[in-house]
Amino acid sequence: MSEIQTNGQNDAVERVVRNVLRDILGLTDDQVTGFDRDTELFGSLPELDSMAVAGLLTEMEDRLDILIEDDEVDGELFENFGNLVDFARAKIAA
Amino acid sequence: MIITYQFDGNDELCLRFGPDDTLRLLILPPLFDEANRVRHLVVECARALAELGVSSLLPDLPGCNESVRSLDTASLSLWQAALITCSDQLGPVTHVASMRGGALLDGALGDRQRWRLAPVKGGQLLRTMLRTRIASDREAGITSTSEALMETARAQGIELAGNSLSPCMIRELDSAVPSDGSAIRLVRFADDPLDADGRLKGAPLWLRAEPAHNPAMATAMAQDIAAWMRG
Repeated sequence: MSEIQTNGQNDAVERVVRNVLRDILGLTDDQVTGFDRDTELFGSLPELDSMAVAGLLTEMEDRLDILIEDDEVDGELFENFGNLVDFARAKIAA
Repeated sequence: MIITYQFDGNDELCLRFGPDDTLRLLILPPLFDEANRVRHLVVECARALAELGVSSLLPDLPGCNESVRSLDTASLSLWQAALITCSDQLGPVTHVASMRGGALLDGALGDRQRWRLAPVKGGQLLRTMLRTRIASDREAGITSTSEALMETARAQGIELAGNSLSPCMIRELDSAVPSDGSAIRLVRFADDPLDADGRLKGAPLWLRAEPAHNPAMATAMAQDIAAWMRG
């Protein structure tokens, strides 16, 4: 399994994404700390239905102060934890 | 105890907790789906407040919960009018405690003492509901956008995530922000980076995909509210 690349600012982004998933899915800190890039989201977390995804996107916007457009949301984004963190980082950098 | 208040020709239910002769707190839960996810938490918080000697009212908003009125006739301003009526009939209300979207209504009674947990703008609630609609449209093979849905919604109302929302509700939600006031205690969770007057241990249960309860959080909320009410 690959490690997530981290540095100052990105650590904070990654932590926010972990916390949003923890809050939406009702996981513990230990469980989300165990997430790595390859941790599957949409395919392996049945609680992550369309309503949960909608809440997740709005929370990410709120906590990261970003704006996510409708056409940026697709299945690939929620394929694994790495994709979601990369997306959040790219939005902040933009 | 379940009591009622009369608003606009209907009896609306209201839960009343605690002794009858003390300061009375009006509790405003989150709005829409978020309210359903924290119903248990809110009721347990009201029970814990009663044990601390604080009496409270937890009214149904017209169009929500057990209300016979349909949601598509409701708006934020109608809900505020209902809260004024509720307070007149079942109060006096001296303090208001709200969670999330409930803070969009807590100015209804004027500049009272207000306690807020993680208040949210109406636009954020609307955005989440629009996203749910876009996702369900996509599953049905329909491509929709927030802009197009909002255009329809403003003109003729819309169903979002199971909620029939009137054009008036859409317009009010889109622009609603928690009102300013002179006596507001703002409370957030310990790991929330935003400013707050107080920090609470717990989790935003209104976000949960699967509803859950957190008894410790209900108690912590009640203790914070009771201490704030006693100044």
